[in-house]
Amino acid sequence: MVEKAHYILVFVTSWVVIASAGAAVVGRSAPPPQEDDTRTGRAEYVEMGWHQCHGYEGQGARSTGPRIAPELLPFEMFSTWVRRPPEVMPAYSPKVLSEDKLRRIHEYLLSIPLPPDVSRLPALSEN
Amino acid sequence: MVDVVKSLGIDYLASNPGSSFRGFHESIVNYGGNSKPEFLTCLHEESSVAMGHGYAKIAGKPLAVACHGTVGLQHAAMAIYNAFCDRAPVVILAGNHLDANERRAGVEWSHSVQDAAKLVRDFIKWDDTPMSLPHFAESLVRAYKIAMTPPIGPVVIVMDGHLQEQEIGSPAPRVPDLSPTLAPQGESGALREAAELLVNAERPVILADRAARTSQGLTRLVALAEALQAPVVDRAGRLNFPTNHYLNHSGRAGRLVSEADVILGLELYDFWGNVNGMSDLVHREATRKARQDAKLISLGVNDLVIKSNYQSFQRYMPVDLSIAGDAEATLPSLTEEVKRAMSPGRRAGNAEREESLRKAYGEMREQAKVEATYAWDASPISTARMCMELWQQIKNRDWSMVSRTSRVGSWPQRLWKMDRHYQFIGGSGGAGVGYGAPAAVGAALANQEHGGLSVNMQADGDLMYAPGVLWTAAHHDIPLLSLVHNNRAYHQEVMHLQRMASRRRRGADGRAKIGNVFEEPFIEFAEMARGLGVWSEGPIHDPNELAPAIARAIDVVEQGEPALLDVVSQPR
Repeated sequence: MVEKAHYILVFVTSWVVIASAGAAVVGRSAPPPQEDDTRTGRAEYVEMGWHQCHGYEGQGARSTGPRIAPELLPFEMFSTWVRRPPEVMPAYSPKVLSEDKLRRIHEYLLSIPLPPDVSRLPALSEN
Repeated sequence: MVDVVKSLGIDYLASNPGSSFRGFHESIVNYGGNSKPEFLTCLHEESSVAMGHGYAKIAGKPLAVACHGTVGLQHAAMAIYNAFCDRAPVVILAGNHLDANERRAGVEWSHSVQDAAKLVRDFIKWDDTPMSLPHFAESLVRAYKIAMTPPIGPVVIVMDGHLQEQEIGSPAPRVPDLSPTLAPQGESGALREAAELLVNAERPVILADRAARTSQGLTRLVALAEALQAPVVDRAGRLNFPTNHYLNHSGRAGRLVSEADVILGLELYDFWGNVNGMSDLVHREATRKARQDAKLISLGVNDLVIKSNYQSFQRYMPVDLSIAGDAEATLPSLTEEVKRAMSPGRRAGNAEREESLRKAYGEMREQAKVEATYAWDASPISTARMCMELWQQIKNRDWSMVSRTSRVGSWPQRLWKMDRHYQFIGGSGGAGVGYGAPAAVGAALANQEHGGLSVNMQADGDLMYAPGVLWTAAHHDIPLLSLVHNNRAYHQEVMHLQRMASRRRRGADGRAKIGNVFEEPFIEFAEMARGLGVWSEGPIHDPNELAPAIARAIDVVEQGEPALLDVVSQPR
């Protein structure tokens, strides 16, 4: 299920805002996500309606929200982003989304495999 | 009346039958031989008009719609508004019984109205209520001429029941000749000034929305962009610029607008919104996206058709040079002025610009490919996968995208080769839901003449407004491939509710689904289509099952019938 956990700064406006605040974001490692937590995390991700803007796999969509997975912020920064988002993104307070739930959602996003390379997809590479 | 319609070269009459135009209907099918125009059986007046809307954007001319002047026009109203906003011609013939002394008791009174067109007068170009057959002939010809003169738009002619059913007498009234009006062009001095600004700009950008009315518009915009070596951002009101041309930088719109020193807007529906922004926050503060010192040039016909009530004219935008004229008709003169204004030194600089723009274009396309890989194997199926699996199977055919694409990530614009005007027809104009399916059927009807494969990325919510149009497609053997982008929701509305709940600190959780999603039960689009006589498959959840299903559907469409695939897909 899990290929790799990559902590790479995603260059989207909202995340850059956090990064510019001085937090260390690149090169961290994480313990491997537990499969049960991942499954629950996906359900909670959908329950919270995150898929509406960012897609079921966190892939993002041009008109609704940036990609948030599988390259992911470390949990602390991810949490800051979720609790106090910039601009129009809905804020999720601990009252609405507990720390445990948020952690499982993070685990779910971490578990999403990296996408295949363009060269492996004829529909893209032959285009 | 039928003779007048025939004289205008109108090939189809889209209609849901009604007694207030029974005389006309009978003449169409018997006297007129049900040919040019052919009666298209529609199951809703909104479908009739939206079919005409889509048809006109491919055929370059209107079809006619017949409906009750009362209940029919009420059903049709929203589709008329879309056509008005999208600058599409539709000729609407509304039945009525004006003379109270001639009305039968009951329904004929309920279906009569003093001023039928009043209902839609805020969003049509012209209407009339003829009182005699010569009057009808003159007014219908005039209406056609008005509808087709940029700014193009829908018109209404009321057909009185008594006029329809009385004896014509002898000799028959004369049908006046149609004298089409040439599209208005921008004033030559203003074009010279615009050319000077564009040529002397260091970072010019061209924004085009409904600029290309025909294939000529596409060619002419390429000529202007190449003369300037200026990037073009296609705002997708039509296919204004080939997606495979190195000057198509639609994916870089934000950066280009923010850096530009001269911005040329061609038939922009919303100039203000292209150079300004307003976040969806409680305090709606406007921010300028363009440089403060950027020179703004507007070329288009929007200022020539402004109505007061409905606010589709968008926010007032002060520009440095506002030129009234049809962009497509004006482009050759503007390009000539640009070439004239170009010094040898400036012309020499074009090579450097070209190299830089080619590089940026290539990077933009490669980046789009990488972005398409995310969620490639996911279920629900990603919009990128949906679009690219379709592209694999149509790219060597003659095809036409007859739906909007922004709901499916604009992947066709980002990754397909779209270089013919008919390969994309834009969206609804007024954002009235329910346009998609009937407009696609109408456009497919127009494409039928050329034998091209019409493809439709069909929004699920849109299809449910008037799904009966699928039956119309089946009944009239209109070949159309529809892929239902079935995200099982009024997806945008879910996000609106999340935003409101968050703003009020009530938690943007699953309750945002209430009222906005199609669950319990899911809508079975394939079963519904089958019930309406359309070949279908689905729901398709597995992305690996998509390609073979598309192949089977194309086989059906190539035999001259509609086909539909229900694709359970990602929200966007």
